[in-house]
Amino acid sequence: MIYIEDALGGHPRAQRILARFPQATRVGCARYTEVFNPRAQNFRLQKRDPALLLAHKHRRLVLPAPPGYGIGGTHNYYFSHMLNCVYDCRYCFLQGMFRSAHYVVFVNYEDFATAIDSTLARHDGDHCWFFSGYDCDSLAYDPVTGFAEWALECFARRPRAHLELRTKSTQIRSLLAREPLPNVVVAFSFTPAGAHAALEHKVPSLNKRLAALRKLADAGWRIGLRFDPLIYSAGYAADYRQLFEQVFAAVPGSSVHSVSFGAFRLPRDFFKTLVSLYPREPLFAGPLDTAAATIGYRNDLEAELLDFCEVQLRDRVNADRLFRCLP
Amino acid sequence: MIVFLMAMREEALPLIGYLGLQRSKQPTLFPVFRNGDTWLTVSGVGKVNAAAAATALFHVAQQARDAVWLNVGIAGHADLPVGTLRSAHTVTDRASGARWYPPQVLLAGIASSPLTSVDTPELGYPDESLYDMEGAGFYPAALRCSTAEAVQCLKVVSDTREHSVEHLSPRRIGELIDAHREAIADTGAALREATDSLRSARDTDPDVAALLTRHRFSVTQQRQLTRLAQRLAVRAPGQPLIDEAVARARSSRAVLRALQQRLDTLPMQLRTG
Repeated sequence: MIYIEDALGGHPRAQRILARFPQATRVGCARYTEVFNPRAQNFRLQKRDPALLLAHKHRRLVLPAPPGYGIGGTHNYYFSHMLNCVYDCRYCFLQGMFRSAHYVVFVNYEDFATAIDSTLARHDGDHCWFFSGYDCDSLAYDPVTGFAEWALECFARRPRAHLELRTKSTQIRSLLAREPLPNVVVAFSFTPAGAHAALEHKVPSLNKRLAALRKLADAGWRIGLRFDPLIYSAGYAADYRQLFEQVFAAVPGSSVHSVSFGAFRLPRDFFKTLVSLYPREPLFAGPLDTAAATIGYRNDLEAELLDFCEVQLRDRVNADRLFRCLP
Repeated sequence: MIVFLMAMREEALPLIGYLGLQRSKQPTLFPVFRNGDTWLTVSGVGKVNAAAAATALFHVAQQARDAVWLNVGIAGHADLPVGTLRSAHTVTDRASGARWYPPQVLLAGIASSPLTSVDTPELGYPDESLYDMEGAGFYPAALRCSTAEAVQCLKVVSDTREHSVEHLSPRRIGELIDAHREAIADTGAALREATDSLRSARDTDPDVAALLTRHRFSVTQQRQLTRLAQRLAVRAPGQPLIDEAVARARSSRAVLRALQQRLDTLPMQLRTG
């Protein structure tokens, strides 16, 4: 099922996407919000078979990134060509933020470029970071959206703008098809094997992602490593030590642009929604401080987990490339 | 739980027979038929009747949340073959222009069409929509009782430009629905399985009820108790909620403290069982 905003009419990008699904039923709507996120929708049920919505993003195309989201830049922003994700990670805040699991693709990419230019103009002469994987996985749906090809062209012409593509996918074809850009970082997120198996449903295996990462590094792309969220379990120390060994063995140190890490945390309201969707999820039954405004592990466990991982990561990467994500 | 809402008795009879439903002896505003947790009501023709019957049945059927609500009936269409079964991916109230988009996430195998609800029979079939007289009354009313994925309109094409509604006999209406009784029942069952999984995930330990009778818990404490019981059931499956420490506790606060202490001692595993 594909819902299309009536005003998109013959938008060429919408037409290209529609052409990929010739059998899909097409349903017109005035605004995507008529279908996406009205009351009385269940994210968990919709996740069984999400529909695709093609929409036009009108306002707030580029937004300030939350504090603590950066990787060394001063001016940090994010933009979302897509809402929701093809994967089903149980810790993901999108489940708490949206009532709908449908995929929304905003096809007016060119307006994002205009908004990026306006943002750059506000920081005359300064460099700005733009994060694209906040409300979605930057690359997972790329064969459909064609986002990466557009984004790379866009940022190739804007050297003052830096782009982070954040992903758990192996969809790297459009990156390998061109010369690497010095102002683009391809950031991969990882959790240990146990957490991956238990929590990251539909996400490609660690080995496949490491192979993709290696290909990009060999092609000259700058790589970001994201260990966020850190997941606590009884054997976390051994699990994370093994993960770090595997990941850092796969990518040459010279290719690593940045490494960031941060503990599992969710806004209280999002957490309550997630618990009501998945009351039997062990992650949510874990040693969490459920009285706080932001739900996370108990302070003692969170500090233990963060400190352990920081020590491990400092052994593998220079301090100037290591960033602790703030809550 | 599944609720079928049908406008006419002729539409309802095939499902009443197929599902083994019996007329309810409860005094009700609209005729109600039931077999276990499968309910059916006959609303009469029109949006107001459909909305009223849905609301009335919600109260008769123990106000169950996350039930499956299906409006099943005949509809007109310009040119689909008579007898075609469709779900509605949009429901439009022609009079007000209001429109709803029932999510089609659990309806594999049934093709969908737009549905327009009209106040008088549509004989011109001006576009590719199905035309009925109940959907736009049923849908918003049922949506107050359940989640959108479980609220659907299933329509069988009964009249077209070439097959006038005037030749539609009560017997023919029954035959049109009867031809799809299995598909309709199967759709209801598939939706029920999905919504049941939501409800069973929220089931609480019966020991919670026992503790609530032993001590006085405030509303906040009741919530804390329920959640602690859920967390313990996940972290230590199969272990009774009321162990020695909980049984010894002399107050609600002591119960909560004992449960929290037990939770804190359990090793954190990301998978149960």
